[in-house]
Amino acid sequence: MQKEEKIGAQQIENGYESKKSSVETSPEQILKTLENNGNTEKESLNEITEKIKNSDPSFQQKTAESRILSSLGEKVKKNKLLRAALVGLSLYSANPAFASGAESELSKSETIESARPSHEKNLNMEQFGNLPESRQKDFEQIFASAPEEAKRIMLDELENGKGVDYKNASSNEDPDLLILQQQVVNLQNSGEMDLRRKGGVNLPFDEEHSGKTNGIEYSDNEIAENGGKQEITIENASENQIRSWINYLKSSSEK
Amino acid sequence: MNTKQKDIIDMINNDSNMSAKLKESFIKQVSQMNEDELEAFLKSMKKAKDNKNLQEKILRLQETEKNSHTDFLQTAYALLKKITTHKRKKQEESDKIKTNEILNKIKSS
Repeated sequence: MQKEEKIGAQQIENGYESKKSSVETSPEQILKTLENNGNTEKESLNEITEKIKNSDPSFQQKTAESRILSSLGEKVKKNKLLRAALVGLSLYSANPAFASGAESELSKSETIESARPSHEKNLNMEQFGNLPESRQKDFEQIFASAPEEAKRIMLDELENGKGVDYKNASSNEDPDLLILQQQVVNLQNSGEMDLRRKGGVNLPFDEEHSGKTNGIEYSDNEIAENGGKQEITIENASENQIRSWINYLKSSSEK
Repeated sequence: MNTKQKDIIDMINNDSNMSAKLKESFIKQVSQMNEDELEAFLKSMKKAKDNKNLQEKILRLQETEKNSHTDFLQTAYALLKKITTHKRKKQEESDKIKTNEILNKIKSS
């Protein structure tokens, strides 16, 4: 059994080593690397999930509380998006004629989306004041992908904004506020609060932001210290975090 | 598989420039995509058209994917190590109990 585990760990280490090799831009090579990376992630995640399932209940509970496993799942989700974007670029580089095909497929989904009645109808961007157009688009995109409850909070904060006093949060208070405090400080330091996120990833196809991660990502230790919180996206943000985003957007539009 | 995926796969199949092997690799990737991934894929292809330096963009995105993959592996490795250590400790504890039981039996006999 122990021998088996050593092999598993070795595989992961080997995978890590193999990733250090130099990059190639031929579509064949890119696809091969992407497939390998995807398979390694899938196999590792399966292996780890299986091992945890076979461990004793107290360890299972501890792992569930730390949310390390779900954070690992999120990482896979994010990497799959990055790989999908790379497949797109490679297909275009193999034959640029595909761009128009992509455009017509995308316009199909836009038609479906615009026909769908939802909170979008109630969203009034004027409430933001002079928000730059690119930011407006980001916001609209995030709003569209947000869960219903998050939409309700966003609209409420826009209309009746009371704000969140994260600046004065102390260690005795809501851990959400403390994380938020750190998050806002980090974002202010980086000069931008980037909402261009979906599933925890800065959308890779955006020229301006490709290769840049302004979003907050926590290491495993930080996740444990923060009571199991992981990367914050619109899907898992707390009410305070959502209200703070809206406030941040409002304050940045007044500048 | 949804209709968008089928359309794209048809386009790939009808392409006359790519080798059969390359087509197969692309089709495999596209057919595995979920809704979100498909959207990222299509948008990235659409945007590639406006990009003057495509090779550089590919390199940058490759670098991002590579780093992100490494990050995954490191977390996975750390977690696997934790699981292994925990198991070993449990085993050591139970071995110790068994040894003590035997020792006690020897002493009392």
